[in-house]
Amino acid sequence: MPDAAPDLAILAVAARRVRWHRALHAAASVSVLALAASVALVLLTRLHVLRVQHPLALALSPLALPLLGALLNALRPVRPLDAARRLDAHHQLHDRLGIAWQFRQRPPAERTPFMQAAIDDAAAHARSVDVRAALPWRLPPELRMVAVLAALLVLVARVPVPSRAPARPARLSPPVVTRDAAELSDDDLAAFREAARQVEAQARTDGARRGVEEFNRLLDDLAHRRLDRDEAFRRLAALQESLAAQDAAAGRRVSEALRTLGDEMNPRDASTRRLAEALRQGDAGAAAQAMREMSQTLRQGPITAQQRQQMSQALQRAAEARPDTEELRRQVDQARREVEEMLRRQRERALNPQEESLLRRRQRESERLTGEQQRREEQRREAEHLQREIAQAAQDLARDLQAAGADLERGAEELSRMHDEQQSQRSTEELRQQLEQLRELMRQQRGQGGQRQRTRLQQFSRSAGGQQGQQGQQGGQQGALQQGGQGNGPPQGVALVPGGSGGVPLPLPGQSPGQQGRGGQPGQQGQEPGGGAGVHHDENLRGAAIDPLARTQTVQVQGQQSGNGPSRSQVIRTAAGSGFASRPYREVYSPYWDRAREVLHQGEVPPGFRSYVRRYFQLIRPREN
Amino acid sequence: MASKVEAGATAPRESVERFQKDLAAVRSEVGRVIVGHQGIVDGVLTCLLAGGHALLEGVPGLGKTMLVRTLGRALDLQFSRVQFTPDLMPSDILGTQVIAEDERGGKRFEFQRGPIFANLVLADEINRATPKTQSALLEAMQEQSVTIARKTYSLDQPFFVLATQNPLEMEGTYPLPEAQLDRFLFKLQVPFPKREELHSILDRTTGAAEADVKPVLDRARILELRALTREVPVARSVQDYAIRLVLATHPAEEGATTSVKRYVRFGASPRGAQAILLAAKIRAVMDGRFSASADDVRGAVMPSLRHRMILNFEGEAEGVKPDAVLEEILGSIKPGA
Repeated sequence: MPDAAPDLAILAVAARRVRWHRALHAAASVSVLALAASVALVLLTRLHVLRVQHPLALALSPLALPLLGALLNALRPVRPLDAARRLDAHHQLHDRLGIAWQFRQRPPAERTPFMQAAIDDAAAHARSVDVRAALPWRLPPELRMVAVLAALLVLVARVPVPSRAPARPARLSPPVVTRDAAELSDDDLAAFREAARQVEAQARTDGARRGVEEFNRLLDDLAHRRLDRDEAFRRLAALQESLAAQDAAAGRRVSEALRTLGDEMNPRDASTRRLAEALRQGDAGAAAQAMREMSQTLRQGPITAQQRQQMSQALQRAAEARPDTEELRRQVDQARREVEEMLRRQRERALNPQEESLLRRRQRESERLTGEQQRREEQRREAEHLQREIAQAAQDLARDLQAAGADLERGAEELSRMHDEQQSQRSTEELRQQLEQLRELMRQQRGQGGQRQRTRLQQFSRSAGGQQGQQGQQGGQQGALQQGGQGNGPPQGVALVPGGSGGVPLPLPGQSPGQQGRGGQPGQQGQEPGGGAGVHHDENLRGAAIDPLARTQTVQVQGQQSGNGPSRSQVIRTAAGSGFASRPYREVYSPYWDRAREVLHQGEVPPGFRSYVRRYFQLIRPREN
Repeated sequence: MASKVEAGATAPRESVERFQKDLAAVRSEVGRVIVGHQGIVDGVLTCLLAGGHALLEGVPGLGKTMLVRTLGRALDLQFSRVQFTPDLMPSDILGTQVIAEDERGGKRFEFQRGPIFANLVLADEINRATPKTQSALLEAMQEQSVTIARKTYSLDQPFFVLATQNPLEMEGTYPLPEAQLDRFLFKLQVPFPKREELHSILDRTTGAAEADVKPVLDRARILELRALTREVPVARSVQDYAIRLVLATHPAEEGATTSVKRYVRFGASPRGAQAILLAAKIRAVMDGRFSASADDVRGAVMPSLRHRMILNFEGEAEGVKPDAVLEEILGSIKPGA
């Protein structure tokens, strides 16, 4: 049977056209839904029901759906039979094309003469078929709705919407009162928030940032009295545990590792002097900066051969620096052997008390040495990457300055990372201290012995403010924060013991500054409400009250030569009368607080009193106004 | 007159053209006597070419008998007419054994053929005969043979029965059972003539001149045409459409319409689908096409299925016409879906 090849290619053309029609109609249909969604989104955003960062992008995002719908429909194949039906129907061909297409799907051998005749007949009719007439482009009926919705979208997006009307004072149920709520004064909250801001500014790691966020949430809850004391302590404990889980010693290890490297470098070598100093100080940030400058020097030149050699040697020494572990390892081995020997003896016979005491000492010593060995090993690991880059730079210095510069640049990046680690560790440590302070503050509010603690703190607060103590105690130092005085002795007027006279009232835990009584006269119990730090003036002080926000004047005051070293002279504004030279209190406070922190860190203050020191500085901190 | 072309041996195009030409000749001859009723004539010819039988339903005086008689003359076939009455016996149709005497005086039974032994049998008012007599005729229609006294007699081909029945006078009639109605390929409803047609009828029947009908197709050619129509292929989609239409007449099937579910007790049998497809093939060839289309199927649905649907009590009580139900089906079931 001859397989005539009738021209049914027109079916493919028609199928393609049907596909595009379908895509157009799908796009129009989906556009209606997408535009409706866009209108709703824009409306909700403009009415402030939805709060989104990029409202325009959100509003336009549904408009991608029509494109997607059109694409899917354009890609979805159309059966030629369906296209043939459309052509047959339009040209009244009595299914000639559709039937012929079906017959053509059969193998030629299976076609009967009538089938072949039907195919030929269809092909003959196909020549007169006009695909465009049969499948004309018709605009989707949804277009009208699309136009309306598009106009509505523009209208909703452009027409100014009045801002949300102030909420009517709804008749709400009585506010929920947290029983036994943990309370903090606004001043304390402000202090903790300020500390949190400073910690956040230093935080370089996600863990530290998360800790600060959680701390802020805790402060918010305390400010709104949403937590009872149990819950507040539980949250505090959870946050402290979370911070404790972070490697708190990492920053210290970094510093010690850097010091090890710096100690090995020649301090007299001019080309590496800054780097060596920074490393010796354990300051990764300064070291990174110094190493970058060295990299620049190498890359830009010129540099003499002697300088190259000196630099290479210095770097080589730093690269090979290792914590001295040999002697330590020997000591560890010795201590372990002794402990094992004593334990063996203990198994053989009972030890006398002296021997048992010795065994316990040896065991503690062994544990200490093992810990020290582990610490040094961690130090070595901390500096491992950095030393590798430095060693590479030392080698490249002899061959290629550009390569050596690149090595140092990588080393600087490693130092920057270590610097971040240091910073984060510091911020974590600071946050931990703030948490401890907060816990102490809340613990002192109430609880076992809370009243006694409260009384002590009350006295202490007055003392910190230089105010007269309770119960008519007389005397005391000048209560203003006139610190430093002249010479390098202890600051005058800082009363750490009850009995301060006059000065600025300071808040007690759970009280705002304005609630604090003002001690006007010696021995007089403060009962009148105070106006806050730096607002009111003690009549015992000479001169008029000053404005804490007043502009300052700088004067030169000669320090006294006492033979005890350098001195500086300054008059702090809060204690000064008009006409005195003054210096902003904030500038005075910082160095003192830094020094106090150093002392606290070095353990020179008994643990039981550290919270008082911190509290003291918290109370006397400079306020915003 | 008669053509020697056989289906399959001649090119389809020529065969179809000859088919059209022959049919046109028959129509022309019939048209000399019968005014209008073109659809009825085509329906009857379709049944003849499909090898089926037709049931004509219409009130008296519409020319049913005249149509059949004219057709018999135009086709040059042996024609017989049986007027069905309640006392008509099967033997009156099939024939009977009679005692015959030979030359030597011996007597023997001899089969006397009845009117069924013709090519074209008009069973007039078939519903007036008893079921027993109806069964005798319908059995012959199905088997294409007659068994008398344990002897089977084949009926000459083509064997074509045209039965008529009057839908109005139901008194003293025996409506055909559904199983027997199923034997008819088509049930054609003869409409009342239009005004212009009535003018023509009166002109032709009240004048002196009598139309002379000439035979244009003989028996052999009719059998050739039957064979030719069987050659016509049906695409799968068209066949599927016919099946879906038949299934839609069944209340329990998925495509059943509201009317079907409400008024129909049983839908059309598979014979209905066969009738549709055969009729669609013939319609296609009549139209000069080589394959049946969905339109052909749609055109064959009414005469093929209207007598094959059994209405339920509610349908009967409300006087629902099967044609209305079928119209609804045709409206809901579309080709190519």
